[in-house]
Amino acid sequence: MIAVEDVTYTYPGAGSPALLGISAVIEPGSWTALVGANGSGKSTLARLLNGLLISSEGRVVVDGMDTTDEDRAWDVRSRVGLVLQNPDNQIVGTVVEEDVAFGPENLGVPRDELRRRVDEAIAAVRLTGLERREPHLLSEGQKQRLAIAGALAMRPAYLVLDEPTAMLDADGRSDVLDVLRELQAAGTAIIHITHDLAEALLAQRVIALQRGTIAYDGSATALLADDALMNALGLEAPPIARLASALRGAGLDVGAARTAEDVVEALWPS
Amino acid sequence: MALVADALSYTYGSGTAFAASALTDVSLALEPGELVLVVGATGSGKSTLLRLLSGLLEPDAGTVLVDGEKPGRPGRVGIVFQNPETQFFAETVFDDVLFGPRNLRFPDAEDAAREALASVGLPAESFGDRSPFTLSGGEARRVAVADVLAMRPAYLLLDEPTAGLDREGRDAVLAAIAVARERAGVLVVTHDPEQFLPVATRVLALASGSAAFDGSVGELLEDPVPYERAGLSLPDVVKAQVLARARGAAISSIALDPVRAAANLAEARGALR
Repeated sequence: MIAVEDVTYTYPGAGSPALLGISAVIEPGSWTALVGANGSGKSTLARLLNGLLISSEGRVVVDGMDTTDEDRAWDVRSRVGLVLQNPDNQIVGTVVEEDVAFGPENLGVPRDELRRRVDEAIAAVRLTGLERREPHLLSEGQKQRLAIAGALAMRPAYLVLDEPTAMLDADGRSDVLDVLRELQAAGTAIIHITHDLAEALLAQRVIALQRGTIAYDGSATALLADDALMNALGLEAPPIARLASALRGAGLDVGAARTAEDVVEALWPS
Repeated sequence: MALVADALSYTYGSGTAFAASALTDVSLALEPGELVLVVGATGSGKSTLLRLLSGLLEPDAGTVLVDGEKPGRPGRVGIVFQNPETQFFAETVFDDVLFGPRNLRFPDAEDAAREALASVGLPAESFGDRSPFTLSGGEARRVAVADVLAMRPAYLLLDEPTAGLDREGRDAVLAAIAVARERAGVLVVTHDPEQFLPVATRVLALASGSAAFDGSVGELLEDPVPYERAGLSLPDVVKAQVLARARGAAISSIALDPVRAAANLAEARGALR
């Protein structure tokens, strides 16, 4: 597990801390959505989880390894993969498979093992067949999946994604989310930073940050039902959730409807 | 007075082995006060269309006329690219916004900068001296819009203006667009049209470089099927009503607003029972 223990982080030169006394435990294999307005501290927390940033106070412990322990820095980063918003800033290889191989190759992973890891990572993000493709010829959604494959080749137990779908169109977005679902089913813990509540609904647990502190930690459906809290957090229920809630108000319970199909199926079962 | 594109076609790398057609026979007109939405998936030709409209690219076929003239006159057509805040360079917000009108040798360049900042809700008195690099996401995006508005364009082209912003930032950008529209025709390119549909006048949907749908928002809601058939995804709220219709629900006019959509569905459900 990842244990975040009373963590405060202040950026160098900043007057006030970006995170203030945060504590949370991320279990292996879980799916957590990290939500909150711009500037609430989501991205800072993401970077603390894999040791890219080191807490000013408190500590982050990844499967028993303290991220402040410099001797374990590589182990921590292998355990906790980080995928950022803009795939173009994360791609280093001249072809897809080289890019995926970059991380483990640097760790000195033996050749056969490297081949196996690269092929598995490419298959997991559904880019099989494109191994020799130049990254700039990929669609934005494919590029983001390539960035995920790069992280997967390190065999992380935890995958932290900072708004991985923000720059993608509807198809690219659903492909990335499908891949995350499959990864979690295969045992990887997902920590998904988003301000799209429709995406947060995929998580078992939602942690909402507000000005550097945890303002909510619970299920997505309970958060969506609390209008006052949603407003205070600067969050907005996805339109389909507002539709479902208005239907409930009219006496038609459509359950935890996440898609248009869910709503219609509940009202007019096929 | 209009920005008129007539039957535009464009092929990248024309005449080479790598020729790739990006846009085929696309037309549109943008008048002051309008908000035209250009939607489509990545690679559908949206960005190429923006470049043609602003004069950054010349069409292989067809014409672009800005108030009857060829595009390219500085300041007439303003364009805000994706993630524009990465292009800030000045030490203060005011200097960043002043750069455009000063280059265009406006005699009242400072007034133009002040007006532009006021119109995006960031008055020069409180934001002018800030470093552009210390702004929140929503503030930064609005300064980027002000950078362009300060040149007093008659037509404002925005590429994904709300991408990556939270609710507060997005609402502030939408408010700035509403103000800009009082003076200029606004064209918004997006792959996420839901937030703009309630205020848009027309929608041009591109699929593989061609117009898959071109009409008013009302026309789109009346019959969203061609739009969907072109591979464009309808907002969930609209889609729920389209699917309900397909199952026999009587819905006379499809609503964009979730609460009105719920009323439509509830009424149809009652009628069916």
